[in-house]
Amino acid sequence: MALLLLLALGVRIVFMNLDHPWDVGVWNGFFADLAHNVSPYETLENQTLDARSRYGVGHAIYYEGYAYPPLPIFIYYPLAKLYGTFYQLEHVNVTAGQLASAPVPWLFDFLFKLPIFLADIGIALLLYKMTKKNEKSMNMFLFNPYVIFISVWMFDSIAVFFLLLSLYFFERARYDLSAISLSLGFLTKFYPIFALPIFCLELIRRRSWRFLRYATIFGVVSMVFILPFLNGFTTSLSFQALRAPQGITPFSFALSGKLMDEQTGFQILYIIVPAIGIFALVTGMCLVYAHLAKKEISLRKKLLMTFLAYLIVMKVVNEAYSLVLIPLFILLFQEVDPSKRIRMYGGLVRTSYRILYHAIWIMPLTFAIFNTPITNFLGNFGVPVTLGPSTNNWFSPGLVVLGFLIIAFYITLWVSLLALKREKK
Amino acid sequence: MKKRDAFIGRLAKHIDKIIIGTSYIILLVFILATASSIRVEEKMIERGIWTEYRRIGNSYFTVMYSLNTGDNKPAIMSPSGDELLVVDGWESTVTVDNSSRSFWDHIYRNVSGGDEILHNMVWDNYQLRQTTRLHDNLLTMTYDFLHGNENGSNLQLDILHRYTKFTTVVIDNQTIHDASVENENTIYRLEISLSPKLTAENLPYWSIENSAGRFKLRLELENIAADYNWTTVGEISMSCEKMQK
Repeated sequence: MALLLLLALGVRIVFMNLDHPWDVGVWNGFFADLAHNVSPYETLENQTLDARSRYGVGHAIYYEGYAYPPLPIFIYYPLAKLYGTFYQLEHVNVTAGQLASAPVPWLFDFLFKLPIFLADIGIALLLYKMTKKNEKSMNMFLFNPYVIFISVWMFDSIAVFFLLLSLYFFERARYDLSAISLSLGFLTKFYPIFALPIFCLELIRRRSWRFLRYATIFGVVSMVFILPFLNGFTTSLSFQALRAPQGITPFSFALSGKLMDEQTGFQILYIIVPAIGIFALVTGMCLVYAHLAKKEISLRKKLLMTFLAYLIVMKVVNEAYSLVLIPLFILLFQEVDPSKRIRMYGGLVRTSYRILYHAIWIMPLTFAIFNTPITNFLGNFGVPVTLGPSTNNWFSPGLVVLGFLIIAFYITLWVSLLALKREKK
Repeated sequence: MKKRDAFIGRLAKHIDKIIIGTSYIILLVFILATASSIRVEEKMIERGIWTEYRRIGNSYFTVMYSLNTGDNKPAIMSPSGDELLVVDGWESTVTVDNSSRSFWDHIYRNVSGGDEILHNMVWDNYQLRQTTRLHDNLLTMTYDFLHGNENGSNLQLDILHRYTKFTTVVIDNQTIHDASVENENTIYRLEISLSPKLTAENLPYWSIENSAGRFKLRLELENIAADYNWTTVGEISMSCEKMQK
């Protein structure tokens, strides 16, 4: 097993110099801020004001910088300081509307991605333990091409690790540790918070008052990290709320608003769709929680259904968001035969859980290959950055492919959710 | 204990209805929060009044003055409204005796009280103070200078302002951007007056450099005597109104 883990780490190190052209600029700026003891939230505010002044509020309400919860600041502070002793760190201040491409040294990629790789290992070990020491479960995650790709791009693995750890502790009745772990997941990326009602509802279903303690511990731990950065945290929430639709979601079709005049396009992208998005998010998630509240099915299934619903109702579904489903599907295969046939709507839908699992990661990976596009990850190797499919021509082959992937992914999410809903236990 | 057990039992029994009810309340709160801000914005449109948004910290200073038009009403309000004019601190510079630094690249001391905000930009051999006052529809920015060079100092301020394409900008009766030419939509008229005034006969204290969406005001003064007191070097006054087409 140790060899497999080392091999998995080695594979990630081989690919670690692949960087998303925009995000690497954000990470570089993030390291520059930390190395100089500057809050990245202050930089977000400054860059936002600069973007607004250059292009007007209509173009860029918020600069797409560090708009995450604060735990990564604590994780990366010592690494940024270490990096700063070797390299003169400066901001790569890319103004809104431009492409970023900042070749970065090998050491930067190594230090930034090391916690992500370790989180991958942690998820694999948790899967190993949670599937009765089944090495196949571990390998399914570690050597999944999509997982490797996301790990060299984004730090979702850290959030998913804490989420999975919270489930692990909950299943062993260590509720306080579960609440702390879930809070750490939320403090890394926002979406683990959608698991909080599931855990609390499970305790309520068991007629236990512990749900109050669970929620309180979650809240207290979260506040400890958030309070020092409260302004920045609320700015990040505003950023997320006001974001235009993007990614593998039908909300992205609203980007056709860009074909209209600037004011109408702005109204559609930054006013109407975010308003619909909030309505969809609140309604959709509450319906899921109401449905699952009294169900006597495993917590693992409930969490999988929760995050399937989350991806259905969100107006922004970037390619990395599907990562949370991978370990949950792997855990599902301990309860349900992956080859089990699924037939719905009089045979109109015929599939299996195995097919759904593979679709869940192949489609976002393919989306990223076309959308970014994939050559833009080679900036460190001198490959020039190019634009992805243009929204000036909605019938270009690239956009047709992306549109197809959006619809297919959305259907996959729905079929998965409905199939799980039909499972008896 | 029995009452508690009974309560949790009822809670577990009706939890789904509670969740649905809670979702209705959350949606209602969102609708009311957005609706109320729409009404406020409409009042502001009628009065055409500047609003001020301040964010001040140890290393961070932003004051934005905007005419809240109500055009943008996201569910969670952008607190600064619709910025009509922005003084760009990154691209505004202070040049003292041929040594140049951007506004942001100083040590700050900021004081805010009532109608006045004092923003001190401090460097080792000079201070520049920007005092901003807002009263009704008039915004005034005064620049004061303090230095210790006994031989006298030369000062050049380059202050970059950005404006929207829907804004007609008039500086000392000189129209530098006429929004009505390009736009069908509602436009805003920004009237700016400079002090000391531009002069035609002598070298102007102020000069204007204008390009799309931005104008830079340059103030040049020579041989400012060292003094323990602040010397007022220039003042910019602005008023704004909304013009219906």
